[in-house]
Amino acid sequence: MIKPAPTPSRHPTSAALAGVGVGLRTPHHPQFLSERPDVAWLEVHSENFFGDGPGIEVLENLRTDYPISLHGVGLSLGCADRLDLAHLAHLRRLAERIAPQLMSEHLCWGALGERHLNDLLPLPYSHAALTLICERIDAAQSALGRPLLIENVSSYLRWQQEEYSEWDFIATMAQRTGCGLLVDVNNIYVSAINHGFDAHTYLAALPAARVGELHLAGHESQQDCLIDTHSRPVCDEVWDLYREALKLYGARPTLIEWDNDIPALEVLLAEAATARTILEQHHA
Amino acid sequence: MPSLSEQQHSFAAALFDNNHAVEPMLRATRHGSVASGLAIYRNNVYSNYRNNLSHSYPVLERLVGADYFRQLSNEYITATPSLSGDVRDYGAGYADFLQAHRVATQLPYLPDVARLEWQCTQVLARARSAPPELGFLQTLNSDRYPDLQLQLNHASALLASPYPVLRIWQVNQPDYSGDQTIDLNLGASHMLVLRHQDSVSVLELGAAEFSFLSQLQQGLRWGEALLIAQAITPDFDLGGCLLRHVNNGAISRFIL
Repeated sequence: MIKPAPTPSRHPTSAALAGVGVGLRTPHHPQFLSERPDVAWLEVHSENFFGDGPGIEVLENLRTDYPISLHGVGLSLGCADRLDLAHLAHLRRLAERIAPQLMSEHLCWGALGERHLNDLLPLPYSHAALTLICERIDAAQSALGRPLLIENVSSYLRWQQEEYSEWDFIATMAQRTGCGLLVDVNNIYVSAINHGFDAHTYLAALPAARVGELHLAGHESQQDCLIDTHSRPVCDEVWDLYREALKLYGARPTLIEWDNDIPALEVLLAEAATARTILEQHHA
Repeated sequence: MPSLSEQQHSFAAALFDNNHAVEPMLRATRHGSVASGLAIYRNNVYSNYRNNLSHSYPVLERLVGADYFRQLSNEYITATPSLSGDVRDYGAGYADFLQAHRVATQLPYLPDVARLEWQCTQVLARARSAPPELGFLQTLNSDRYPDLQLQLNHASALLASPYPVLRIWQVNQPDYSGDQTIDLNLGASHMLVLRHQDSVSVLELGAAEFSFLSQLQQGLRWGEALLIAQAITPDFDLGGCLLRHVNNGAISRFIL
């Protein structure tokens, strides 16, 4: 018996999702299909479900039991040369097929003209980049017919041309476009350590009402630079920042991401249980 | 001040072309340099593509070894822009790249191994066609059969090589435990790649059988395709061929 998928929310920060979800990755598909582990929702990388491979059937199956968030990594909203309309059309088709509760993209660029770099590269926090990203978010939200959550990325370089702090850039972007924010707490921590800014200032500057989701993940250290590898457990400092984010924004759907050196599902679920305890303590 | 587009093009040139023009536009992390920051991004971009190529070409990697595969992949990445925001599309040109590479003079079968592996990933990503309506054939007078066109399953591909590529592919599968020797004088392979639920299989075809299916795929009618197959193998077993490929799902539709 297939349950109909719940209707997606029109507002990015309304209670479309609640509780703690995990990133669904291919090695865990069989266990999710057979055991239906107890997590509140699932997030997937949208591009991994373009096409008609075995993955889409898994997702169509799991969406009957779990709310789904589609998290895009390839749209490259900040590409100065063009918006990839074909990619956007793929996203729209996927959204029609899966009826996700949330859709999100990254505040970054990753393409030049026809060429994609398939990475999440930092934008200059300039007036020109702000104008461009707002136009692109408007275009994408309009093509998809729904609001998007936009996620901050980790960075290992900044541009000299910096007319806004990263947090003011994001707050202004949210205000101008009406987009929601996906606040990646680990990314803020990584960039704060790398660039020497205060993560608390960053968190406090974001408009709480627009925050629709929080991300937690692990990182690695390479020669005094933190790299956002999604290959480790969440570190203590990031758990502390997560508690602070909950105080500032209120309870928000929270995701544990793990993309490299993917552990046994039990390890991922234990991380999710830790997040759930913190989220429930916040409620109490 | 450079435009946003100029900033992005300069950044990409630093990643792929070792061009330093972007460096004065950037600020380093507290303990690093601009060059070390660019090296992190270069490594992220290249390793993302390399991981994807390893995933698409496991037999190739096994044949040349992980170190040489990494070197070949780096050369391919530098030479070949990605044209899709879906990184799984990256690597379509690997076989052609290998064909033009010096490695192909020593291991001439490598490009065809790459072609087979790429087809396997592509076929697995396509929806399977429904099985054919056989009732339609029973109502049709058999003298009309030569006028039929046959459609092959959307999730299938035909592939030929002058080398024993199928044998090479089979003995390099992770679950293969038989005889590892490969006689390169075995000659040509004619292959059909076919999707199942969660996997693909590669079937060996006879030369005439391959020709028959290829001609059908190109839109020729049954009768025309049969004549060409019989030119290769005069006693071509048409009935056996049709039965096999209706049963395995390779033939998905008969059209008059």
